[in-house]
Amino acid sequence: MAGSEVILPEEARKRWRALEWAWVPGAGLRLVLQEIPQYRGRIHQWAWVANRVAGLGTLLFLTVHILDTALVYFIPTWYEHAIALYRHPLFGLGELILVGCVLWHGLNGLRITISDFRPRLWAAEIQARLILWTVVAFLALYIPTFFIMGNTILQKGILGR
Amino acid sequence: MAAIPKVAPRTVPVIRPRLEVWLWTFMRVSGVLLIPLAFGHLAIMHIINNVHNINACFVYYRWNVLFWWRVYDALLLFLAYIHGLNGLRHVIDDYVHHRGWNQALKWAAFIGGALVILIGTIALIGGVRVTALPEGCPPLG
Repeated sequence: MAGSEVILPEEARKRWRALEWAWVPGAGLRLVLQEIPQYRGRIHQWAWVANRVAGLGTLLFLTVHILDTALVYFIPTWYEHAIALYRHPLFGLGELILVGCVLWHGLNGLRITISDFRPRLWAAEIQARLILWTVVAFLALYIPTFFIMGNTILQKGILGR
Repeated sequence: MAAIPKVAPRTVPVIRPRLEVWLWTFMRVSGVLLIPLAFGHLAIMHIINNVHNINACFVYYRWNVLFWWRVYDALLLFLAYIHGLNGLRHVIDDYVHHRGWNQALKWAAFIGGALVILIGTIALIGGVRVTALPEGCPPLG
């Protein structure tokens, strides 16, 4: 019809606008960051976000960790300096975060693997329950770990005993 | 009642798993193996021991006296790092849609990752050099 305008749904409009930015590296990241708060994927979405952030964080640390341990062979005299850095309380905080990341990534990954082999479990309501159980398992393991490691950081790293 | 049409027997091509399928399988298998491996590593290094009592001497005895820990660490190195690199590949595909940048970043991750694994492997085979040992840590006779 002449003079009429096709009104796109808001989602389609947003994707269309994102296409104009497709030549920019990370345009997809921009889109995702805009959409994450609006997606309303409930606990499922946050489990996914946490899994991704934890995975990337672990990979970053793993890179540093493989290289610093390799010093024992390549530049032996530097190894002690590298370890001394890890003893700093700020690295202690990073260590606490790292252990949390690995724990969540592992437990959440186990949930995904089990669900993949029992596809009926992928029903959204069942997943919501499974994710809650994953959170419970995570807290059950992480809370004592947090206190044991936090105690070491406080006693040795900060108070120097 | 309509007659049931006769279907001639035919051969169905077997679908061979392609790279993506192998990588999916690798992610599940390595992920499951990494749960005891990585959790065990964290328990030993961060709860039972900690960065305040770990030094080159610790690594030296662990790798030389208890040789199997080298195998354990090798498994961790390969499984965890390849698992991580493949995860990074998915992340790049998700967020970087520009074809050139997408390819460039994936190649950079692949080459950089291969280098890190190579460095880790050499160090794991070479072991702790005696010159890295602190005072009061006698080298094995």
